[in-house]
Order: sequence, then C-alpha cells, then structure tokens
Amino acid sequence: MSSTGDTLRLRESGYVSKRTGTRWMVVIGLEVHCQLKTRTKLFCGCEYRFGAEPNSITCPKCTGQPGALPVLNREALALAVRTALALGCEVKEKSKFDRKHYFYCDLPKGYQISQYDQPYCTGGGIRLAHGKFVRLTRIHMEEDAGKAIHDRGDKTLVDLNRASVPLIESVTEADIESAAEATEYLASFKEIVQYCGASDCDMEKGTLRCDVNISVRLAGEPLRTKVEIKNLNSFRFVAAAIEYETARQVEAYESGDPAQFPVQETRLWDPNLGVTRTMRSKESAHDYRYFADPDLPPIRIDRAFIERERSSLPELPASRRERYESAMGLSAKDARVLTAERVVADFFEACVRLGGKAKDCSNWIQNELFCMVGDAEINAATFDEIQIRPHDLVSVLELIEKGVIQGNAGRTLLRAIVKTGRNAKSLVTELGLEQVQDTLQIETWCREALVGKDKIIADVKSGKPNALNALFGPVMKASGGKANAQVVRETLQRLIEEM
Amino acid sequence: MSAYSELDAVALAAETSAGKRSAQDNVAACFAAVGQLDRELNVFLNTDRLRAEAAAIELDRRAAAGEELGALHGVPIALKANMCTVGFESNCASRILAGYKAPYTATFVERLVAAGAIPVGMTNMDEFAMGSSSENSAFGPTRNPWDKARTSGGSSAGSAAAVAAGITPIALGSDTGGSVRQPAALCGIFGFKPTYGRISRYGLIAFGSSLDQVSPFARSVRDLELVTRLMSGTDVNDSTCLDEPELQLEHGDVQGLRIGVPKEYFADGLEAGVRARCEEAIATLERLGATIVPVTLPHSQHAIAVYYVVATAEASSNLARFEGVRFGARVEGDGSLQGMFAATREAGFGPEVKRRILLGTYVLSAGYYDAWYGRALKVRTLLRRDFETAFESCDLIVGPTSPEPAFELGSKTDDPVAMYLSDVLTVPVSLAGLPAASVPCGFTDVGGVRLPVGLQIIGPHRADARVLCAARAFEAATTHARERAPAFAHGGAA
Amino acid sequence: MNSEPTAADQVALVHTIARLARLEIGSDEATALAGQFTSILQQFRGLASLDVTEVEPLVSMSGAESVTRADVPEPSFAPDLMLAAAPERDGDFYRVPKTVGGEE
Ligand SMILES: [Mg+2]
Ligand SMILES: [Zn+2]
Repeated sequence: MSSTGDTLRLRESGYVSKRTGTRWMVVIGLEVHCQLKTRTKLFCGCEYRFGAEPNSITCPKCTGQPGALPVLNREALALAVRTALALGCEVKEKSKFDRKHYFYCDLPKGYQISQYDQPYCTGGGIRLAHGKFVRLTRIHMEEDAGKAIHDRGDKTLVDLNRASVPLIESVTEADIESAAEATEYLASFKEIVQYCGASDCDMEKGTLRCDVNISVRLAGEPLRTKVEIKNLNSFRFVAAAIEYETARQVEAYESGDPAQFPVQETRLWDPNLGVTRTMRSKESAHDYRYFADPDLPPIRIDRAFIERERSSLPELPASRRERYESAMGLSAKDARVLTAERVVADFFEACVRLGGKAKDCSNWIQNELFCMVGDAEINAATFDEIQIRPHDLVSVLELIEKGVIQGNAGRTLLRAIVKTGRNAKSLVTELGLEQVQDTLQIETWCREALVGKDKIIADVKSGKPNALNALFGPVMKASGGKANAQVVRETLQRLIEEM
Repeated sequence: MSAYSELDAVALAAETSAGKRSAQDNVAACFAAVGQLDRELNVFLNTDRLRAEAAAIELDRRAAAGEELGALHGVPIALKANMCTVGFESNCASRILAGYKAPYTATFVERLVAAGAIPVGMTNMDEFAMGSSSENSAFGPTRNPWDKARTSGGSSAGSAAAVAAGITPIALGSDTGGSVRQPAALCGIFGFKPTYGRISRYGLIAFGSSLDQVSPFARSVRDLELVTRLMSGTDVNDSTCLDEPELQLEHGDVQGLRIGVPKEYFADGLEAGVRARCEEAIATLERLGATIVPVTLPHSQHAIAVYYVVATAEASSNLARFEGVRFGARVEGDGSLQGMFAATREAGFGPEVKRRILLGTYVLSAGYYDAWYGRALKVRTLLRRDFETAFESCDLIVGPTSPEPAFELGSKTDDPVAMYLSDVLTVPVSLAGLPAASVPCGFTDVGGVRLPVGLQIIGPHRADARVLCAARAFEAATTHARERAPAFAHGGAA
Repeated sequence: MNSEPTAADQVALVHTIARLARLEIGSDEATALAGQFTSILQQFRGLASLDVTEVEPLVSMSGAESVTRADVPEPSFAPDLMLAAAPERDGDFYRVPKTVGGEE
C-alpha cells in the first residue's frame, strides 16, 4: 500500500456533515457469529436441522435439565481451527470454555458456554481490495441459544432446537471506516468461511449473524462513545444501519447538547423503519460472571491437529481469482463470479483440469449452468444440486470443438445430460444432434431461405455482409440447429454471388 | 435364612441369587422397615413400592429362567433425591423442584440397576445438598437412628439413616464437602467418597461441579467396594470422568503402610470422645502393622473459606437453570419474564440456598472476582500441594471425619458459620479431589447418649483401593460397625 | 475487601447481587443477609493474607485435556418427554410471560 494511496483514501473517507460541512471519522468494529456445519450440536448428540418442529431436536443436555453435562464435539473444534487458519489467526495450544451468565428464556442453563479470557485463537484478519488490512482481535467458540418467539399471542414461546448449536464468534479491531468497507469485509469473511466448509454463512437461515460497534470522532481526536447495533440480518442492513447510525451520532454531537450525545448502549436495527433504537443502556449492562466451566476440561490443540486441518484447507478465493486472471487469462469479472462459491470454483477447475478451455468453461458455467438453478425442469435449488460432472461439460465442449455438434445443440445436450444423468456420446446419437455437413441438404435450406428476400440480397451485394445474418437464423431453424454454421454462411454467400 | 436387615448387600445378593430368598422378599422387607421407621426418622422424600416390586418380579423371573444375575441381584437401594432416575421424583428437597421427574436416568443408577439393584425411593437431604444437618430440607430434617433428637448429618442425611436404620443395606449419597463422610460418621456406618471423577456425575443434580462426587453408604467395606466398582468407569456423558474402571485392591491389610496423622486434624475444638476414639483407632492401625508418621497440612485453616467460595460460586451458576421455564414450580410475579424468574426463585429456594447463591454470585461478580474466586482457586492449588507433600512421607492420612458427633437438631440453625465449620475436616479432601472413607471407630457419650464416631481415611489421588483396603483391615479388627442403632429394623419380615 | 464497608453499603450490595442472581428479597431479608454476609466474609478474610502471586489456579480437577466426542448423532428426546415438567406449554413450545427480544 503506497503512502500516496493511503493519504488519498483517508482524505476521501469519513462522513461529511450536511449541516456544518465538518468531516467526521467513522470507527467500526464487527462481531460476526457463524454457525458451524457439524452434524450434531456443540455439547450433545442432537442433530440440528433448520426449520424442524419446535422442541423436536432436544435432549437433557441442550435443554439444561438438572444433572446433565456437556461433552465437546470434536468436529466443531476442527472446523473452528480450520477457519482460524484460513483467516491467518494464531491457534492457541491451550484454551478453555467459560460460563457466561445471564437470564433469558431462550438460555436453558442460565449461562452460555463460551470462551472468555482464553479463546482458541487470536489475531489474523482480512485484506480489503484497496489494500487495507482489517485485523481480527480473536475468534472463540460458543453454543447458540434457543429461539424466543414473540409474535404469537400474549405470551412468548420458546423453542430450544437451536440451543447448543456450535458457533464461532469473531471480533474485529475497530479498523473499519465505512459501510462499504464493512460490507466488503463481511463478503470476504463469508467467502473464506464457506470455502473452509466450516459454515454455510446463510444470513437468512441465521447461520451468519453480525453485530456492529460504531462511534464517530473528529480527525486527531481519541475515540468517542461506542454504540453496539444488533439484529442485522443482511449485508444491506449492515450498511444501512452504519449509515443511519453515523448520521445520528454526528447530528447528536453537533447539536452541542450533551444530553443528546450518544451513550454507550445496545441498539436494535429496525428494518421496517430503517432506524436504530435503544435496546439496553449501559446502566443495565451485564455482569456476566465468567468462570471456567468445571464440567469441561481445558482444550489442548496440538501441532498435529493444526497440521491436519491446515492440510484440509482449500485454496482460498483471493488466490484463485489471482490465478484465474494471470494464468488462465480470464477477466476480473469472470474470476470473481466463478470464485464466489467454492462449489462453482471447484467445478470450474475440474473442467479445466480435464482439458476444457478456461474461457469456454467459464462461459458455459455462467451462461448455461447458472440458469439451471431454480429452473422448474431441472430441480436444483443450488449449483451443487445440478446433476452434472465436470467430465460432462468438457465432453460437450469437445463435441462442439470437433464440429460434431453445433453450439445450440450443445445447450440442448447439456440439459439432456442433467435431466437424464446419461453421458454425452449416447445422447448425441439418440437425440440426433450431430451437425449436418451435407452441403446439398444445406444448399436446399439456403435456397428456401432466400426466396422473396430481395432486399437482403441487394444489401449483401452492395457490400453489407452483415445483412446475411437475417438469413442465417431461418436456415439454422430449418436444420433444427444442426447445420454446420460455417457451411451455411459459405453457401449463402455463394448463392447470392451467383444470383 | 437371615433377617433382611442383618445382611450386607454382598450377602443379600448371594442369598437372593442362590434362591434362598427372592427379590420380592427383599422389597417386602425393605418396605416393612420403611413402614416401621420412615415416619419417625423422615428418611425418604418419596418411595415407589409398585415400581420396586415390578423390578423385583422381573429379577425373580430372570433367576427362575436361569439367566445371569448381577452382583447386586435383588438388593434394595436408596438414592439421594438429587439423582435423576426415570419414574422417581428427584426434587433435591427443594420446593423449586417439587414434582420434578427427570426425563433420563443417571449413568451410575443405570449401572447399579443393570447389576440387579432395586431403587426403592429418594432420600431426604439438605436442599440442593447445601448443609450439614438436613435441616435445610424443605421437607423437614432426617432424624438420627441413634438419637432422634439429633441430626443424621448432611447433606446426604436420608441415605445415611436408611442404611444405619437397616432399611436398605446400601444407599447412595453425594459428597461435595463431606456430605457422605460426615453423615456416615454421625450414623455409625461406612461412607466412601472416591477420587473426583471416578464415578460419572451424569444425572447427579449439580451443587459444586468441581467437588461433587457420587458416594456410597454401606454397613460393610466390601459393599462400598462393590458399589464403587460397579459405578466406576468412563462415561461418554461426563467429560470429567476418569478412565479408571477397575478398583484393584492392593493388599488386604495395612501391614507396612505409613499412615500420616496431620496435627491440624487434632486441633482444639475436637470433641473429647471423638479425639479419644480416633487416637485409639490410630493405635489399632499401628497394632495391625502400620507405621504412624506425623504430617502437616499447613493450609488447612483456609480450606473452609476456599470451599465456601468455590462451592457457592459453582452453585450460583448451577442453580441459574431453575427459573420456571422448563421444569419446576413457577411463580408469575409482576407479569414480566424477569419478574417471573425472580419470583419463582424467591419462592422456590430456601434461605440457605439463597444465601449461597448470593455468596457465589458475589465472589464471581465484577470487581470481586480476583479477590475472592480467583484467589480461592489459587489457594486450592496450595491445599492440594499440602496433600501431595504429605503423601511423599506417607501412604494414607487419617483423622476424625467430623469434629463432633451428631448434634441436636436446631442447635446450629441460626449460625451459618458454625454450621460451615462442621465440615472443617472433610472439605480439604474434597478441594484436593482425593478419595476418603469414613469408618465407624467407636462411640462417645454425650449427655448420656451413646453416639457413633467416624475415622476418616484419606488416600492420594486415585488410590481409592488403598483407602478401602485400610478400611477393610480396620473393619476386620474392630466390632464398632456391627453395633446397631436403637432405631433399627430388627425383626419383622425376614 | 480493603476499606470497611458500612452496613448500608452491605445492604445495597446484597440488593445488587440479589438482582444479578434473580432473587427477589425484601428489605428485612436484605438487612439480615447483609449481616450474615459480613460475618461469613469476615471468617474468610484469611485468604487475603496468603501470597499467591506465583500460584496457578486449580481449574481442572480430573487433569484431563481435550475430552471430546465424535460428531455422531444420537436420538433426540420426544417433545412430550422434554416438555412434561414444563410449568406452562403451548403445543410443543415452552410458554413464558411476554417479553421483547434480547436478553434482559
Ligand atoms: Mg457471543
Ligand atoms: Zn441435545
């Protein structure tokens, strides 16, 4: 990062008060909770499923029945370590679980098992596109709470299915200075965690949740009062809440009335009104009374464990994008689209390894396969669910390249493969998709197409070769898409010249 | 056929397995004793005769069918009311858990039932095991079979009384700071707290998680051994459980053992008869071939403070789950959620439990943690080191279990500190996580009442077998354990 | 622990702690408890006299480390079984007094 670049950015960052024209600095830290993709909960064998019937996935342990004890899920630890490695954190050899106490109806034991003064990892971070490095303070493991439902009648209902589901909570330093940086950080964070296979990071299903800590200050000043915003369940809300809260805080300070100055508090984002409002002020701040959970022996993460997880780490998206552009010659846009999801990137790379041309594979994945997601005929809700192997796409591309089939026929073939699960070769014959090379047949179709098209013929003759395109379509249509395009073009050209 | 109440569990299981008596006979005899004594002693909070009979019928069927029978075949057992057992009400002698039936059974109960034991009921205790006299039970105290005006000790009072009164040959208690050893001593029976972690705590309703240990009562050492062995071993449901399945007895005697006597355990304040009986017991051990060596446990004076800080801190946390959402009684309060929590807890917990929750909350709270809880954990290390150092020069440590014999009910209820001090000889062992037994070592005369005295035998970490060997040698050399309390289920059903 | 707190301080402290612990205590009870608190803590003051700067706290009793289980599902319990002891339920939900979102 060059010093000029840095100065430039600093000059542009911040928030300019509409009333006074003063430039305020915005100071943001993020706390992100991710649900780890284990089969069972963090401390019991219940198999969590999103959207299951209420209280159908619980047992004495996750509901805090008297006498029940927690037992740590090894896979949760492995996924947490893998994520830490992907984010460049330092995994601690020794860590422990602590009890964090507060009373709420969705917290079965009256405490949450979390990590306090000895989290399993510290440090690490994410580099943003313009070069800034957002530092992570720490990541720790903890169990989720259940769910309280407030919108049914005059009582609150409690579903403990989610209680004790494994989470990692990551906390950044206050390095973020704008809504744009916050969303970029989150997108990148989500991408990395998904790549590790540690979490789905689906904000709609609550497997990624984000809290924002935000304050404003004038350049050269120390930090001012920090406000926490909770209940942000989309990147859009994160950005909107930051923007709203920045303006609110600046306005409060500029009012000059200390009674209106921001106080240290927790605020909730109201997505309907687009505002933040007070949830809990500092006066009722918690005294969590953390102490080491005597039911869980300390954790020692040894070298071998770390190396095993390190070796299972995939190549991360930033590195892949770099490679797709420099070694494969893809555009930055293509590289970004292909790496947005690891399944896609992995599929793309497998195709290239099988001999597919990078650009062709990229086009076909983006133009054809992406359209199949959500297509009623295909029955795939995600890319992952499309029934196709890298080998299938490469076969189709090869058939096109060798001139066996037309590009359009290739599309038909690809869909047929996905729908039937059969291989390309057998389907080509069965569906009669081979290109027609028979020049006589092609000439017949061309002659038919030329009938009554005197204007086009005249245009072509007067040196407008593009006019030919209007004839090209009808010929291809007549051939059922199978005519060799080159032969069609040559034949039309010849027939017009002969006229 | 011998009378039911005269047999220990090993003998009773042997006779039952041999067909000399049936499991149903044992249940009948047990409930005859319940009928005879429970009302005056207040041993049980609840019993389930039908369930016990059903279990007995099934065991008798297995015996008749020639199936393999367990080591506790047909032996009635009393469980402390903080042990989760499907079908029984595990209310911890607390109003907040009145009517609570756990949806699962504790691992240790399952293991004993698998060996043929028949749970007959849940015994009285100090509420949530907090107390040394059972006077903190929401359902009245248990009376001592040796003198009904006196305490059976605590907190596992009902289980101790059940065994001392001959209602069941064995019973389970839980020992956090002495809650099995002290009532065993006060009731003239054997009690054994294994090394912390030997027995799974899964299904034991927690008081102080780093201290709690399921512990048996019995009228013979071989029963203690058997029950401990059956309950031992790792449990996938308890991360703090040790991998020590077998209880290998080292030798059958104390020949050649160095037995340490800490001067701190014979300080002022020891009741004269207790001191005399324990000194005689030490002489007996020496006569049996042990070498007596003086040892010192210099931080003992801090044990009570460390114990009450650590145990109450853990208790304040463990008892946070009783708030009226998922189980137990609920009091609505001001109509808000937090108001309901507070009203429920206020109405549901007794004064001593509240006192300890407050103390525990205090020592963990911001600004006080370092001075109290943080410091107590460090002093706990010093206490454990005391024992490690002492065990460099001896194989076992002995001393009194309780500084005094059973005291009169009501004599200490107004003074929590005095009550806390009655644990002074048992808590250091709990804090260090060591195995210790209380064995009957004679009687002391207090105002014309003959009351039992217990000798505490303490072993190094994991040396449970050595403790039990010494207890067995002492048992064989003396007759104290054969004496019966005035309130004992003599006669009646065989 | 250093300067002597007044009786009023002690009562206020008992109220604060009681609120944290979700115990509703009346003022008479608070006064009584404050007295008991003082005498209990007085008894425990000896702890402060020990030099523990070099001493590690005792946190793990079993001495074991990293006790874990495999990520293998076990059957969950039927809702009826888990909700059987609930003071109030609504279908298969636990029911509690109306509250707005968030802890506290
Ligand atoms: Mg958290
Ligand atoms: Zn569960």
